[in-house]
Amino acid sequence: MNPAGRFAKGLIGAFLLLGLAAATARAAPGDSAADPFVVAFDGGATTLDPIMRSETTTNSWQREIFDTITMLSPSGVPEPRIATSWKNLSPDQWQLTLRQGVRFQDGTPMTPDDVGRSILDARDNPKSQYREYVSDVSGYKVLDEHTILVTFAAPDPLFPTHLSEIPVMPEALIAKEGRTAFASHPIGTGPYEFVSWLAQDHLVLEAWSGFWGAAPAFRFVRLESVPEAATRLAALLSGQVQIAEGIDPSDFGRVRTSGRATLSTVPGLRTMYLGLDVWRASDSAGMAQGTKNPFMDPRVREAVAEAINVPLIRDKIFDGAATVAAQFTPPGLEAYDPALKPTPYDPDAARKLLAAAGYPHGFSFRLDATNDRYLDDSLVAQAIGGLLGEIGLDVKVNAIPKAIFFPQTDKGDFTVYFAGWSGTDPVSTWDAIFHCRDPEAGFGHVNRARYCNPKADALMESASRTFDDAKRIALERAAYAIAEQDRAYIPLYYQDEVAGVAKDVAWQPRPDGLILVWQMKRR
Amino acid sequence: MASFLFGRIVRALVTLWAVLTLVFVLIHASGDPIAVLAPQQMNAAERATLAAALGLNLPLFVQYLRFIAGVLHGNLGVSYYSDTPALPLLLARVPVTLELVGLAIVIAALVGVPLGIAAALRPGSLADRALRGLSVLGASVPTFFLGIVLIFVFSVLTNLLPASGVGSIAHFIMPAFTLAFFRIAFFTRLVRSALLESLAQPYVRTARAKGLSEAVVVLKHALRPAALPLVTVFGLQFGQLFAGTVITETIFALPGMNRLALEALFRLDYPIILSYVLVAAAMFVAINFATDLAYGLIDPRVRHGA
Repeated sequence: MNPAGRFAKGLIGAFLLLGLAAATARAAPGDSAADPFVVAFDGGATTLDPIMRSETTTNSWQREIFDTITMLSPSGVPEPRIATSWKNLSPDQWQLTLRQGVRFQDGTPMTPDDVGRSILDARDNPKSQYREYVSDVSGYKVLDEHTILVTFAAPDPLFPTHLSEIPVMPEALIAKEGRTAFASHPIGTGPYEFVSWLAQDHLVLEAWSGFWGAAPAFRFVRLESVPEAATRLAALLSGQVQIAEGIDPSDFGRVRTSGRATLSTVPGLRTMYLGLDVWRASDSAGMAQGTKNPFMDPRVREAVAEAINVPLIRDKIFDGAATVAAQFTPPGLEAYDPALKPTPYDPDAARKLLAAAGYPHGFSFRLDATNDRYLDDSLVAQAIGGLLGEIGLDVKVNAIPKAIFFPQTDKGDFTVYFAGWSGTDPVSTWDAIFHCRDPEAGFGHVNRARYCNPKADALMESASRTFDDAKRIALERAAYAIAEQDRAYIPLYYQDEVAGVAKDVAWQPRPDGLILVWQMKRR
Repeated sequence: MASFLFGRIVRALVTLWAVLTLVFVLIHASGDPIAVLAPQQMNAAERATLAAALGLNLPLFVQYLRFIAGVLHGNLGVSYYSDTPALPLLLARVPVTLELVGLAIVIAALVGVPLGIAAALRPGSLADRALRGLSVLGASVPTFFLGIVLIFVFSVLTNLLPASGVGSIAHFIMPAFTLAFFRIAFFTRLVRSALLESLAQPYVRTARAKGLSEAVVVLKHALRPAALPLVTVFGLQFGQLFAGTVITETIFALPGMNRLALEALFRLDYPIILSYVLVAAAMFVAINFATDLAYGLIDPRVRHGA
């Protein structure tokens, strides 16, 4: 036999052997360390220090090990976790009642000081990405072994919501060992304990017997970074992983008909929108020099909104996995107003508006977008360019990497840009992106378009001091209603959270995109 | 000899310094890491705090001096994202790339060399032409396409091999084959032409005239001189493969160093990128050195300086 033939025979033999091994070792995933429950992520956690990085995948991996102080329900309402209840005593005092009998995974009991100092850590660590949630906190006082009083330099009615971002860390241990050692073997109060990991690649976990709550359904878990969408799909369909995130819209049909997995979808918290230059009367950065800036005219902004066929983008690009936005605020944040309806697609009306504004033949401008940040971002930008072309606008689509896009648009080098926003609460979203720009006071730092309406700002400022939920929500909605009327931005759609889920697993994605194995059940 | 070696080392160090400096300047010109690292919600004051904590607020020249001082102390800085020293983070990824490349080279050699011999023995035959066709295919099928096809066949359809990750030798079969495929064709062509050339030499005729068996003639007398160019190419391929596994590592989700470097590049995680450049450059130097040594082992003329 020639060498090639021998090799081929050997190869076939090896495959058969492997197939046999795989067939005999098949047990329910999660029951043994050799055959764990696997989740395939689009990327991996970069650190296990739970205050260093505010990013969805990193948070998902960390929050199997760590509990946050509160937790948001799918509709965005704060629910008990480590704090079982909370009470606002005065504008600058929140009292938290803590769960009893909580221990860290090294066996030490959690103390009120652990909770208080975790909040201060998130506020003070120079690399913390959670400072904004607790920047108004001035300190805390331990009242008894399960109550702390948090004091504030400025009132924060949304503190229970903000606490959903703050992890409880073993502060005594961190003080003794240092943060680096702690991050290399993290210890929290959550349902899973750390076994091993490779930074940015995979994390191995095992259910922790000392957890204060219900034991998770799957004992052995492996979280993996699988950067290629086609590979995640293959791993899901072959039964190698139980959950695969970021399924490509063009593969939805294949998952649905596979008989092995289902698609699970929920409207997410990310709003994809257009920002328009509304502050330079002429010489807007994305237009020819010396030309007037048409977007100063609200009729032109209205025309752009009416010309973009968002349902078409949803169906053609996302195979339905996006939700047409009627407002900047997504469902799941309290300022979301269910009464608002999306702008209908009406190119004829848009053309008339353009003509009325003095642009019957349109005009040229640059549309900036990322090409590596959001799902199909450059594709959507192309589609928007095409749709605006239908009403006579000459759009030069400029899709660039995020590392260039964000600094450039932050500097004001744009006329129209396409980007996404996901905020934790309506007040901080307003202050960042809608509030009249005032960097000294910390307002409007993402307000690239320089939208400014002092009347709406005043409404939101009073909302930010209002502890009565109903009154605050009314104020927030009133402020956002003004911004929608002004066409401060053009909200297009909310990106859906889509995951492929193996047939024998019961789980719904969360609007915030976190994938938490301890919330999954067997079917 | 000592001065020769010293000269080589100094030259390697200067090259390394030049490469690091060039990469340092290029990456600093390619965007703002804080813009990618900081969540959009973070305001200017918080961003400034973060930049200061990472030393990114300093003038570029000061950053550069600090970086060079760090390199001299074996410290390439702390990853902005993982908040741990960058070099160990990268070194943890080296074994997977090594295994992958090693296995791919072995597969390429084990398949390519016999095929090349077979083709050389019957030049112009149907088998030879079929092999030449195959090698054109091997040279033109893109890695990502072959990888996905393999995954589809062996993971989705037949469920024989895992589609992603590491853990067993089974995890390496598809990635190593994907990586080897192009090289198989390459080795086949190379062995074929080298062997054809040496088969035409007088000493081969002599060996045949002595009545030696065809196997001994081909494998012992003809193949050995043909092996010299093979080793050169082997070394070059090794180096190329090291830097060229990024697509394979990404498709099969292998935690290799090239994938880490690519992800770091997208995030502008400078310390990891610079560590990568240092490690990759050091590997190239090591491979070239090993190739020189292997040359001496195979060819006595090189060894004795003839």
